[in-house]
Amino acid sequence: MIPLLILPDLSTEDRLLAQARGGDQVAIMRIYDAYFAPIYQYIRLRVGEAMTAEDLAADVFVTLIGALRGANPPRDSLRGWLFKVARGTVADYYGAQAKLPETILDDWISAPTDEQPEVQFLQTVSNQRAQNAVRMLAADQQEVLVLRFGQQLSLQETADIMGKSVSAIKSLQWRAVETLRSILAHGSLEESA
Amino acid sequence: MAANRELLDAFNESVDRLSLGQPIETLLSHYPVRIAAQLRPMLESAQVAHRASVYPVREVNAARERARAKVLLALQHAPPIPVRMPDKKVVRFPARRLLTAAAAVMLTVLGIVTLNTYTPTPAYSETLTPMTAGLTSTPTPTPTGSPSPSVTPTPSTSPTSVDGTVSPLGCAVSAPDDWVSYFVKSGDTLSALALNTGATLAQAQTVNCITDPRLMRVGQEIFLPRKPTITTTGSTPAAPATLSGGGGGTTGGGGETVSPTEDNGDDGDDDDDSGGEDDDGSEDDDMTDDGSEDDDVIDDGG
Repeated sequence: MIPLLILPDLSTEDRLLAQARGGDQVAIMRIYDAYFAPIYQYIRLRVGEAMTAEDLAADVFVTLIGALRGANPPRDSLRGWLFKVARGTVADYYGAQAKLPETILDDWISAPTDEQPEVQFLQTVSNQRAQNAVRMLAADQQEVLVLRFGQQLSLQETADIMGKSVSAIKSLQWRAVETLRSILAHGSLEESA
Repeated sequence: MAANRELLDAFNESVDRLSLGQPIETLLSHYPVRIAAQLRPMLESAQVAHRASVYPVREVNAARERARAKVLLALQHAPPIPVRMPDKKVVRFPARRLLTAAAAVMLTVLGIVTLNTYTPTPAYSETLTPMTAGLTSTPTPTPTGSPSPSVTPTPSTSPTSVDGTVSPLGCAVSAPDDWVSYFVKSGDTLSALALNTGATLAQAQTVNCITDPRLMRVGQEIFLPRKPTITTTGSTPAAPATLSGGGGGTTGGGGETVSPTEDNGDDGDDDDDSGGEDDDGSEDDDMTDDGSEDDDVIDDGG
């Protein structure tokens, strides 16, 4: 599984953060250039709709600009701070406990049949179906999947962002993957022909 | 599927190795068959979750360019940054006033200058495809002949993947001091530009964090050992086009040649006159981009 999203390495990140905190506006826009894509992708998967994701992602960086001038700028981990804000932005948009709405399903691959064992099936799942399936999970399961497997963040980084312990993340990622596997294997109620 | 301790541990171990690019079969071979059988669908589901996060480069880049204006606006309209004292130090009252005044002046000047000279750089996120096998992780590529720049890419803390290439978990555009900036023109190819200026394609890719040269866009700023001597087209060096409406996004596939059919849209600001995006130096202060990057920034060390 080659990582498909690129975050800058940590030394670059720390340097950019220091410059941004010092008022370097070029650095702030460089942060935007570098981190927009991961933040957008995180939000996009969770809200399922491109224009909303775009607006919410922009808001994360507007929040950053405000925070840099305030009393509580990002201090230790820029990526952690950005994802936390993204997380909060998504939660605000949908309400804290609400399960995210299921989207109109355009493109479904049918559930595995006897001729198509589960293992092969998983390999042929389209991105669209994968996204729809992820969105059926509970909010915290979605998050852990997106952060750990989408963004490839470490256990510790994920734990910090989600406000949980590392061991809690380990359990959560297992449950999330198991639930996803089950959804993909057995189809869903919304599946259309 | 119920998880016993052994399966859970195997899963957690494997997940990290999976992110390093090891194929599932290799991972599973570390475990006894009964564990591997249960592990396999779990690892494949993890891969599905990974794939679910992928949205097309075009969509992501277009979103970034459309949203840029909103962010730039916030930047330009925000009040000046207050003096940030080092987190742990306490400054005495009279000295603080003087420091505040001096720093406010300097920051304002710096703010005006950096606003005027901000030049969008190639985004890290453009290089969404994995590094090709042609790139190696050794810091100093073999010199090719005159002049052979010694290229030292910023070391990445990311792990290497199975075939030895550096996985793109972070790439900082890092050109040697004597390299110059160049704006990609219609018809340019990275290999031709590299050849023309005495670099190898691999060096040019590494320095500019370009994993797929086909994703280069007209107006994109890259770094080369020197200015190319022959331009492939007769066009004058164009400043990156300003973003309009729904423009932006990358050029499509279809070969390496950069085509002008799509607005590169690297600038987000097409109506505000305050000069955030002008690369042709038409605004007041003419400091080069390099100067504003590292120096003269008040670093609180926080």
